[in-house]
Amino acid sequence: MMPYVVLKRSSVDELGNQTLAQMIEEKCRLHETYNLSWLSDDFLKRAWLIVSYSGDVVEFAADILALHRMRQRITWRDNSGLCIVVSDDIVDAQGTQKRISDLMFFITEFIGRECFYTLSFAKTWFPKLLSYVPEHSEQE
Amino acid sequence: MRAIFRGSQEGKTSSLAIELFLESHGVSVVSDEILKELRAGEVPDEEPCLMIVYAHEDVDIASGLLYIHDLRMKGLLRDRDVVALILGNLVAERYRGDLFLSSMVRLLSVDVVTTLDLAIGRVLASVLNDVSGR
Repeated sequence: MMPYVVLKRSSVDELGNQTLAQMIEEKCRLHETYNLSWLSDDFLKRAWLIVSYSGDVVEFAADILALHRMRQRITWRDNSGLCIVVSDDIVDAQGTQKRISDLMFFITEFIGRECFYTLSFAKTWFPKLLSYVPEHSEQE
Repeated sequence: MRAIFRGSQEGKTSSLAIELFLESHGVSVVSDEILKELRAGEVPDEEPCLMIVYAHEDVDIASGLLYIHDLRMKGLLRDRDVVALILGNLVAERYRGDLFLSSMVRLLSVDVVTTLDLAIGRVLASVLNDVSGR
């Protein structure tokens, strides 16, 4: 079976959701959700990658806490990696264009993300990341 | 009165200053282990807990917020407990009005966010007065 990627969709930026979904679907099976806690721990543990996309800063803050909650059950020791993507508008609104503020960087690091991108950086780096997807999932 | 204080490894002098301030106001600084005892009913639980988190530099804000979240998730911090976040002098100026930090603070129900100077000068005394009056 082809490995699958779970995408936590933004509830405020559908275009961003579609951009990420399209890139993921080119390489693997995609499972989309608006809430990671709706999915079983076992399903999340077997995902090759969990991608969380936040469309604005308030959603990002809420997502961080949800991901921190998830990390109590699904750790980096499990199969699934964690990639956090935020809308370009977030860094614009924070006045930190072209780079992500230290606080956002640290806090996502503490919850064990593998990578942290703005949407525009994800467009460049996601295809490279997804090129490491194994052809078959060993755990299924 | 008891207060749970989480200091900063990098800001030991400032952490000590906060502890000394609390002790000089008759507050005993205790470990967060007491929360487990309180919630298990081992210690008489009559007044709200005061939790103070000191962030000496930017990275401490991130770990401090997740620490508060951890305690809330475990049910060790309740709604009526008072949580204060003190930002040290090395915290970047831009965080004073940062939208992301404000959102996190609201989601975590942090009651007071202040700077080190204001905390020692005015805010902590007011918070202590508030908590003891409840």
